[in-house]
Amino acid sequence: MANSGTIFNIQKYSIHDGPGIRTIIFLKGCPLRCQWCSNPESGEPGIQIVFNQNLCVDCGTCLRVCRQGAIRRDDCFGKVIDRQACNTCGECIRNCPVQAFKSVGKVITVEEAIREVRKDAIFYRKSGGGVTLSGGEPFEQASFTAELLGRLKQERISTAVETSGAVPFKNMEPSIENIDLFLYDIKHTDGEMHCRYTGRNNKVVLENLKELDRLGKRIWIRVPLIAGINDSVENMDRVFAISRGLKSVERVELLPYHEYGVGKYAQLGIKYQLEGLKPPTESKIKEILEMAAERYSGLEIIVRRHG
Amino acid sequence: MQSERTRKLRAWIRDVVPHICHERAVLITESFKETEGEPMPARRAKALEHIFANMSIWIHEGELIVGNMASTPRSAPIFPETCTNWVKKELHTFWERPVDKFYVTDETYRILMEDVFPYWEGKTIEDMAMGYVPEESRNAWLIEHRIFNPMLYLRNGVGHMIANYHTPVQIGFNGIIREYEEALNALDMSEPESLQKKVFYDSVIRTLNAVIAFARRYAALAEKLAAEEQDAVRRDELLEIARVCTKVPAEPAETFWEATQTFWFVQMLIQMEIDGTGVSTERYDEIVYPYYKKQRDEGSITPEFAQELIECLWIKFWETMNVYDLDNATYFSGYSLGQVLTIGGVDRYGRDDTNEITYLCMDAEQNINLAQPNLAVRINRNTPDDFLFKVCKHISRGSGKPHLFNDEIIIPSLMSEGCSLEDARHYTIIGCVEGGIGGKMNAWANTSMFNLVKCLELALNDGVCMLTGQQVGPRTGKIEDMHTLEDVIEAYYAQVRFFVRHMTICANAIDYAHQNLLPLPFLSALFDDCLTSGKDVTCGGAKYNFSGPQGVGVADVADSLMVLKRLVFDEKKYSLLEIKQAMLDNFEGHVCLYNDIQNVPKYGNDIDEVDEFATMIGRQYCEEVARYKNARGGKFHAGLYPVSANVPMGMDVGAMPNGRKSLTPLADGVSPSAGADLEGPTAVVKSVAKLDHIKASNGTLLNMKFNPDILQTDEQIEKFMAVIRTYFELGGWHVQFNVVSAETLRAAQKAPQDYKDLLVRVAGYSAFFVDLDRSLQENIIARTEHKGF
Repeated sequence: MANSGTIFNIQKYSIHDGPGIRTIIFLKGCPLRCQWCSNPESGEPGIQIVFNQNLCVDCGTCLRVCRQGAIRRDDCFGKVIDRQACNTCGECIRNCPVQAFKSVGKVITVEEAIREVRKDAIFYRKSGGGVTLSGGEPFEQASFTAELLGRLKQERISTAVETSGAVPFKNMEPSIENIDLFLYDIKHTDGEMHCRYTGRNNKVVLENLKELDRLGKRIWIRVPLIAGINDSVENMDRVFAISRGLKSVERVELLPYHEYGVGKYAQLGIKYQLEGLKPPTESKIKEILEMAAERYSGLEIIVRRHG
Repeated sequence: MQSERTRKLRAWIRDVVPHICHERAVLITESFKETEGEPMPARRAKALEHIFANMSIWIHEGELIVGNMASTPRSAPIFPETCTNWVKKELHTFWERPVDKFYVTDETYRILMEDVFPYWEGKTIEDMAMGYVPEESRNAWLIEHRIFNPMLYLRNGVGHMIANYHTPVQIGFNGIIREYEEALNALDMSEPESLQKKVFYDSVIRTLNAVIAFARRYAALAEKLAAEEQDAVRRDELLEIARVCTKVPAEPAETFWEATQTFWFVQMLIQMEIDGTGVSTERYDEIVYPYYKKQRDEGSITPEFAQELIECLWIKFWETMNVYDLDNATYFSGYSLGQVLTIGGVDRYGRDDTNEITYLCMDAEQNINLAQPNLAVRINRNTPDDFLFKVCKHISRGSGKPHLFNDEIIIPSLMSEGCSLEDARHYTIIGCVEGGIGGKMNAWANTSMFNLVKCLELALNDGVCMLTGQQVGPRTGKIEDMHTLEDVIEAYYAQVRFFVRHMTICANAIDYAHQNLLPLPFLSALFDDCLTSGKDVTCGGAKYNFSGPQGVGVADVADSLMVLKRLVFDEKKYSLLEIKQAMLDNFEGHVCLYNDIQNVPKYGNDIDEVDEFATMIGRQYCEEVARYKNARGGKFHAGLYPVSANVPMGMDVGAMPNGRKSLTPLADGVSPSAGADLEGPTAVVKSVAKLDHIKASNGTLLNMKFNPDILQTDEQIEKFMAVIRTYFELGGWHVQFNVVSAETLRAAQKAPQDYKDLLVRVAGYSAFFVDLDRSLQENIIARTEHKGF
């Protein structure tokens, strides 16, 4: 069994992803490429170096110290890193006088992860919290995820997994018994739209959801609310209908899009596809909630505005 | 709901321009000229008598609680016995200086300079104290970039203690006078000590009689105003004020109003006797509750009216003023008087004592929302959740008030210093975060600031200041000869030992000057043991006597030692000489080293390896301080908090191994260095709780800043409560919060007129952001803001 995985952050005092005070472990690597993703650094499975043009004074040091010749000047992004050539040796990070480079992602063992999350156990107890695995897509690193969840349960720590659902069910299977709560994304109910904006169809997503429901796992459905893409009353009506139809779904959480992640695209040297996209309007959200109140009374719906 | 009355009073008082008032200065000078040659306690008592009989008094429209300490509201009286030397120099700058401005009229200027100060030349605390300081200690103290600085009590009174507020409420000053008369009559005058005691007892009796007469001047004024008053409702109020002030503080209070009026007289009169700051109270909710309860049972008071009276009291706290010299005004900027009013906590039997008044105080606080009183809430494991929720809800609105204290740590801490269990349970907060015991402990909290970071700088340079090149500390070894981290730490310890020793000597010198020049008969009447010991509180008459100097910069030293451990001794990537060179160069041209430093673990992220250093240096400072006795028969005990001095103290320190640049602020309190805590609030409280807070018995201070976005919903506030409860369960002493975004603070800098009511938490106190020194504003903006994800 693999006992190490690649993560890009451990976030403590998370108060928006599951009950109580939680620690989120963000795993690197995702099968989807949602255009609105606020963690674009989570897509690639390996370690990456990112560059912040806002800090750069263009002194040229990085160009000199990079032995791979992987860094070049760029009109749009300031500097661009050739991912093929970069061996993530970190010399650019070490030598940059203005700390414009940093490394994203690190490999840690299950035990290291456990040591870290155990530090906040007292807060989980006090608040009814626990640990949430997020990403990226946790089930892309299926065996690491399974072992980590197993160890968390041994530690008597409550667990949640935030998943896109876009993985083969066999990737989930070894983890399922050790997951207390699924935060399960439905990004779009329409297969074609799903494919267009995330890179994949939603067929597996919906099938896996049904299977988890059949197994009686606790599920919170989550929808990133993206203006003009999935925030139509029709799409949300279908989300609520699916949720209502599943006995294990306890609530639906709507996460209105925010712009905090946009800057990260430039740091990765990627063009942001949804330039100029704004958060959904309050009136739109109100419209959705009114529709839900009318047609799905009793279904718990929560709008999470931060995070 | 807020009454029209307190809404108007607040609006009026917020906009009053602070002035300097010369009345008290003139009156004490007149009296002192008359009493030359008499024993000092008698002179002080006669001076107070003269002041109370002749100073201007007023009752403002709508006031219910009366009593003023200067001729106009928010004016600072002048205390020439402490401050002549520096006020003489700085008086003409009071209106122009960048912080804590005071307007000085031409008349006041002329009177102080011509009629007052010439008399006091050479007669102040500062003049006498310097006569007590040995040369060696003076050399260790008065250097360009100071390691310790006991300036506050050199240039002002001491304050910084908790008097007994409940006895005046319960038996009245006539009751106390009777006790003193009995003690006086019982003296055997053939005992030599009795002669001294008689002078002391006489001084107390004379002062308390003067206080009673002073209160009756308000009664007379209220009657006069009532006779002229057209409005029938206000006329009745004025008549009630007249009745209350005829009765109290002379006689025992019987109503909630009377008890609150006595409480205010005590608080105000302590601050008129001498210009000590940090004058803080016993638990107001505990003292007045029985009177409220009785009236509630009788049906003679409503909660609404009680709250209105509390709000009137709150406004009185804000009305009081004191002026600091420029140095201290920069250290404690924002007109901070440090008048802490404490509520909540356990009673003497250890039971949670939160009562209906405790809740009403929180409601009053929400309405008034001024920087004073500095409201403190005691929390224990039985504090009701709904009360803590109410407190947190208020904190979430962003004023930085109240700040929170942990019964479960402070009580054992005071006991470890020799206080009895019952006394320790009676603690309340002094000034910023210091614990005191009402009427029992002369705490001398805030004795001095001590720069721990500078000690490390000196240790890495054989006692030579890196900013001036002068040999200021002992030669503790060249770094070429240091081969292990222990060598560095030993040199650091030696620097701390040297300067702590001289700091205590200087503090004791100042203490003796106070004993000679500033007996305080009024305050002594409020310290139980002064009656039995026959000694003034200034001279050691209290049951417990402490002096509390604060270590500042724990995080900077801990992070610096961690950098040395990791990069020099573990990984051997750099030599100590290279580190020292980078410090001297302020990291210019040392890019790789600087970047490597960023990756070394920092205090505040719940990483044992570095947190252990913070624990270790905090402990060493506390133990070192605790070795010394003070001049009142008590001892020194350390705190780890900076007030706001971490900013000016940073101006004394060069670049440090943790990457802190030369002359920039030090870390505040026991908080992590600004921006070093990357793991969020749970990691911060876990790191900070690793320090031995019980040992830092003069208090520790943790500042946290939350983005308002994560304290919006009830659910979020409950999670916030869990952080507080956990910090206290883990052993923290104190925590305070700013709930304001950096954007708001930046906006307030740009348009101060639009943000004049933006209250923020500075250090152990809150202040209006726009009143703060610019560098302190920057420091508050730079503190890590916890956002939550």
